[in-house]
Amino acid sequence: MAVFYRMFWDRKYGLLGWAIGILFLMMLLGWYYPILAKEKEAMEALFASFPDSVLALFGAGNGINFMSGSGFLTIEAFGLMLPIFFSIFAMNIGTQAIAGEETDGTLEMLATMPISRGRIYLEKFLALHFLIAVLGICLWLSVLAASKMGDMDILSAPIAGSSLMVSLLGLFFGALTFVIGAITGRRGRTVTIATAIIVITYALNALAQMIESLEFLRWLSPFFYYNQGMSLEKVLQAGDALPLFLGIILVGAIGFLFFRQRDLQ
Amino acid sequence: MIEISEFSKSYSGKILAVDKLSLSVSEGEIFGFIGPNGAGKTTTIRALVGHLKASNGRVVIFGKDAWSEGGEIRHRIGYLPGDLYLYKKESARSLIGYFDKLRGVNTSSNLKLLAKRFDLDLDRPIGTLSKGNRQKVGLIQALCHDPDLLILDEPTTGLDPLLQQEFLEIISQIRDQGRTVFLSSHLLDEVERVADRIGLIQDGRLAQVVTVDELRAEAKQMIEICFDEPVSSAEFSNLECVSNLNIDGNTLKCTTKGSIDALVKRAAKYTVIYIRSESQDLEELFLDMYRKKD
Repeated sequence: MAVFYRMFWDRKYGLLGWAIGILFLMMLLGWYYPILAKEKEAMEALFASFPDSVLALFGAGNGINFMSGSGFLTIEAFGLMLPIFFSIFAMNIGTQAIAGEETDGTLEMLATMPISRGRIYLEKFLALHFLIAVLGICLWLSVLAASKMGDMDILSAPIAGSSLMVSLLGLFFGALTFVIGAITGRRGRTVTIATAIIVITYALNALAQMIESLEFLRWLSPFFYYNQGMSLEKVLQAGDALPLFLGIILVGAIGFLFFRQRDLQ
Repeated sequence: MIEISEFSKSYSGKILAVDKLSLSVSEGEIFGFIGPNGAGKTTTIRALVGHLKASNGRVVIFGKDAWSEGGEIRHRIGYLPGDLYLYKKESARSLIGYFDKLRGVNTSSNLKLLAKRFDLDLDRPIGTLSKGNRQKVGLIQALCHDPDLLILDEPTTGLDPLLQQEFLEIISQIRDQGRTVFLSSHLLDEVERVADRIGLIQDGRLAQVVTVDELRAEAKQMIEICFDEPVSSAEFSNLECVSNLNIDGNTLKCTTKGSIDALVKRAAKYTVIYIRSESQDLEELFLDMYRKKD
């Protein structure tokens, strides 16, 4: 597992930075929520004035009550900010894993070692998942702390479920980026394609919520499956996580087949 | 040890980098693989280490397919790529420690010896090393696990002449231990000093494979002999090894091919003041042989 361990170790400072950033964000929200709660009536009136389609842009559709602890965290963190943070973090790791190493030329030496291409792929793929899982656990603990600090009255299980959903979304985009890198072998192309996919699928999901005739497009967006499963008010069901989970396995398998069969550049 | 049969490689189905190359390299041999830049040397080498899949033909090492069974044979291979890129933040010691884990070996004692021999600081980050020192790291990582087969692409790039000599001595020792070296270079002179056989690749085709002895036997020498008295051309013109004979008073000039034993013995009938000889450039000779064959 030397490749796995090394990839994790190389990314330890990045992971620490993101974990601290998320903790800081959550502490800020935990501190801010009680202040906001004092303005409950004014804020509720303000939010009532927005149509659901606009709130949906911030991941706050479906009648979410902004002034509840769970509603506040959904809109301020889980609706948009955390999915984007996790996607960026995962995309960075996914890009460097194969495409970055290949562009830098260091994959040439690694691929000369007595381990198969498939093994290199799988160990790096696992390391990507492990890194995101660790950040997911940091998120879960940070949200627990914020909830306690802000007296938000959110149960631990929905926090764990929502953290898992954010992690799965990050994992999906991380896996997708990883696979694009494994197929193209070029960092620039990987970043361009992956960024385009993240932005387009986000826009698809948001537009599909606002424009009825485009509703079917939601099915193409990982953000739709994320929104379906993510809730700070109910316990996550296995079925909610399944589409993203299956998506990760599917793109991972496609990349595996490609990477084993192509020339190194 | 290495069996390449009808190996062809084209990129994007259009650019033919190597065309039906066949060659075999035996155990305990140093095979010099030479050719101009862009001839297909690196493509062939990258197929040997399993980085490229043959468009046609097969590349077999230790009886196993280099592409599909590469993972099983690479622990017996030491490889130095032509374009060497290493993790810049790492020290050589840490990098080779990582490679040891992947190879499942412990090379720390070998590492110490090689670092001393190549005069390399193992603890400096690779990114702060000069090009020559980075090349030393590449060589050491290829050598330190005592591989049965060394595949080296332009190994002496960036090394000073003393270290080039040291390196050539090391690979001669490796051959003496019964191990095999596949040495690619664009410098025939360097390869000729250590190789048993030399293959020339040009425009993606293997143009010629000769032993170094054959190459040397074909080599011409320009000889100049000065006597203490005038000599007649009839005395030397009938010697088989002599051509382009020109005698001017006491001085004989000619071109010889192969052994000059007959010429020396004939010259010994007179008092010789001096003998000068100049060897033909081997690279030129190699290309001559190729053109003749064509």
